[in-house]
Amino acid sequence: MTKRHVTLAIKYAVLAAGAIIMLFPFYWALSTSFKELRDIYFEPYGMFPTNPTFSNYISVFSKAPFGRYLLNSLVVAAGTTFLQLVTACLSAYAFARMRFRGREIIFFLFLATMMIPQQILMIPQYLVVMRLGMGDTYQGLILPYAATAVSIFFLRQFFRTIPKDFEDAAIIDGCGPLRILRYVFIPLSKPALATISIFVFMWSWNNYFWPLLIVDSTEMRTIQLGLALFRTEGGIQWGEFMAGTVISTLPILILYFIAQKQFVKGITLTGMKG
Amino acid sequence: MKKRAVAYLFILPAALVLGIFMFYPLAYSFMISFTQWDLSATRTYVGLSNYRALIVSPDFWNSVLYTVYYVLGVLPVSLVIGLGLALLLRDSSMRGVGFFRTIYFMPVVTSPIAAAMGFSWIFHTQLGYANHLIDSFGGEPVNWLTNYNGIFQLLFDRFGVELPRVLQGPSVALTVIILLGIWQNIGYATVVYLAGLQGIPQTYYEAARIDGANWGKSFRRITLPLLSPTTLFLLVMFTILSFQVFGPVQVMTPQGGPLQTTSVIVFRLYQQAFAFYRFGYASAMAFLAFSMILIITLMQLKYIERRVHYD
Repeated sequence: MTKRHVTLAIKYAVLAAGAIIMLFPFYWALSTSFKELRDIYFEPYGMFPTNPTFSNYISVFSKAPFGRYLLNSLVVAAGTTFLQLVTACLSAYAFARMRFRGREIIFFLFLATMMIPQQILMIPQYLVVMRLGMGDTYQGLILPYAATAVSIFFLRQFFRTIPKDFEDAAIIDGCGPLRILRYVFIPLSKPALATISIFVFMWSWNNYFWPLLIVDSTEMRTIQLGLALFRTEGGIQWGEFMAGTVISTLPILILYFIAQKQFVKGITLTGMKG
Repeated sequence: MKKRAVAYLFILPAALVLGIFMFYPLAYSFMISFTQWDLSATRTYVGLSNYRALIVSPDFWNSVLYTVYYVLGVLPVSLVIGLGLALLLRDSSMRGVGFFRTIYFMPVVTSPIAAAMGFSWIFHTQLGYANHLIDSFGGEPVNWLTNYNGIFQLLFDRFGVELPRVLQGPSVALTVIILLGIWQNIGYATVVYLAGLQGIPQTYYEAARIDGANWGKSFRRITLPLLSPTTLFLLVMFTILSFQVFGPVQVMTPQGGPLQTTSVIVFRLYQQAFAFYRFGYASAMAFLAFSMILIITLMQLKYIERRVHYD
């Protein structure tokens, strides 16, 4: 064994120990979710369920409408993502390529919204949504986040890297701005759009604060809200809590494993998390 | 002329959303911070009295203290561990690097609510794995989420020393929430540091080696200074985000913790507004609290910027 081998072995040992600590909460929730009630109270520290069972999952779905929660989160996250893509594409194109009076000021004002902390806005946002009659609705959950400065800024930076020549060719062919956007910019920006989509979807899926404020009825709860409120209900045991936790986390983890690069890029570039 | 109109039409949807849900609420919030209002028809203008009441409220300053504990607990540890992991994962020719990166980033994409559920279970007093570990090393079980004693005070208890209140540290309950924050932030710091490390030319290290510099020296003289913009970015980012911690606090300690020792600013804000319907007071609190963040962020940018090396 040379000195290099020893260093490498130490590196791997540290990385593996770290990985075990990082993974343990995931594993522990997963393992608990498959344990019988007996296991949890008499063998709570067994690494594996002695008698793996789906009963926690079954009772979670019967005690609370987790299927509905998942559907709500999917609708809200997909709707938010779609609308943010639309508003971002349109305004990013205008900011990147069009000349109009007040462009710089309007752009600066848009960017300024990034500095406003959510907590200052929450009370009046709540009041606005209630006054618009959108409390406890999908619109109320989606519309406040239908446009964000982060997506617009990110996409504008990307649009600016697209060579003018492409556009000129389209103009000569008689294309208007909407068609140029549709047939030139959007196809060329697929990686950037994918990054935004993943990031917005994840952010929306994990968002808890906003649904907590405006959702009233059980049917409109998103998965995060449903999970948090499940915790406060009586007569539920830990195997079921962990099953609920796994159900709420699995979709986003699967998406992460599929599109890992976009996740990492989206989160690091925009610097925002759930 | 027509072209210009098209441009405005293009930004209209985004402008509407930002106007209705950002700018209008900002102005509105500022206005109601000078009133007393419980959402009923009567809204009384009270001038600065909400702000005055806050400044003399021990509860408010306690929540500021707990928030500062949280930020100071999460920030340095996440940065140091993140940098350490980034250094270990830097060499992409090493086998398994991608695998480890995937794992370390997993907590970042996990929702804070789900993570808080998992941590509540691990730190359960009777059945939690944390107490099981302590027990197997012969220690006394800990009432993690119901213990209000400051952790530094607990350390000094055995010497019979009573620390001043501010130095007693976060309560045991808040410490668990801090651990959760660290667990969720490490992967983020790692990935950002990895990106920063990629920007340092390999030739610098080779030159240093020729000059006889050892690992420690080139770390201090090359890596750390050249990473300082990355560190500043993470510092600002984590400060802003940690100041706003709410979800895990509410899930792990729904009542604000033992003796309210986990009632961070946003938790108290939420409580004042949506449990006690003191909207004017809560708005004033939001402005006061976040002017603090603004000042801290500006100070970080101003004073640390000077020591940052932009290549």
